[in-house]
Amino acid sequence: MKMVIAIVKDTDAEKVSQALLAAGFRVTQLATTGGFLRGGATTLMTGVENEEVEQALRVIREQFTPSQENDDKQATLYVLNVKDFKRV
Amino acid sequence: LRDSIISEETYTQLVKEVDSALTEPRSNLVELLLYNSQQRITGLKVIIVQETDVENIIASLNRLGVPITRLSSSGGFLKRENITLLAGVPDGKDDMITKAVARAGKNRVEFLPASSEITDMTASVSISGATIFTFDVERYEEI
Repeated sequence: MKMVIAIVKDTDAEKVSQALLAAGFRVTQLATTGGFLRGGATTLMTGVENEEVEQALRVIREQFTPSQENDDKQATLYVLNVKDFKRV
Repeated sequence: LRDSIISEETYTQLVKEVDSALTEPRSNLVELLLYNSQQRITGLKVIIVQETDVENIIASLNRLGVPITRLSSSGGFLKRENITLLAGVPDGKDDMITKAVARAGKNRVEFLPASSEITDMTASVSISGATIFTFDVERYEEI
């Protein structure tokens, strides 16, 4: 089990979490203030099975179109190992 | 080093940084920012700090080129509002970040309001500067 933490702009948050939900992932959304992206940012947490990490990252990546004119960072992704996961 | 103001380690680190800055001149801010963002991120720190310290801590971590995300949170003994920071740890900068946070956020003693009319004694509780959890990051990406 892995946890994917995606920090995205507020304006992209809905799009990304809808896409993840549509692909069958559960998403937890945290309101995030300030931070590196300065404007409003949103943190999305998703628990995924080891073999689904690639798919989840792909779903997230597909929501962004690379912008040539400015190299602004649009999203930050962390993949963490989950030692133990229980839903009770 | 001199008059024990800074440590030998810090001194050599500074000298090295200055030297490398001189030998590879970066013409503009954009290049410099890119240079910073090209560090390999190998860890994630969840840093829980007091609101009063957060600006100092963010400023010093920014100087280290650490990507930071800020979350509002609350908790601790006093159920006080605090701030949770997610900080990407560039390879080998683990200790540097911990030290920077420790310097910027200090332990302090806070006083609780007196609970009884009879005595005017106030209870005090010490509040730690920061709580830091460190995780290994398997992958880090910027889009």
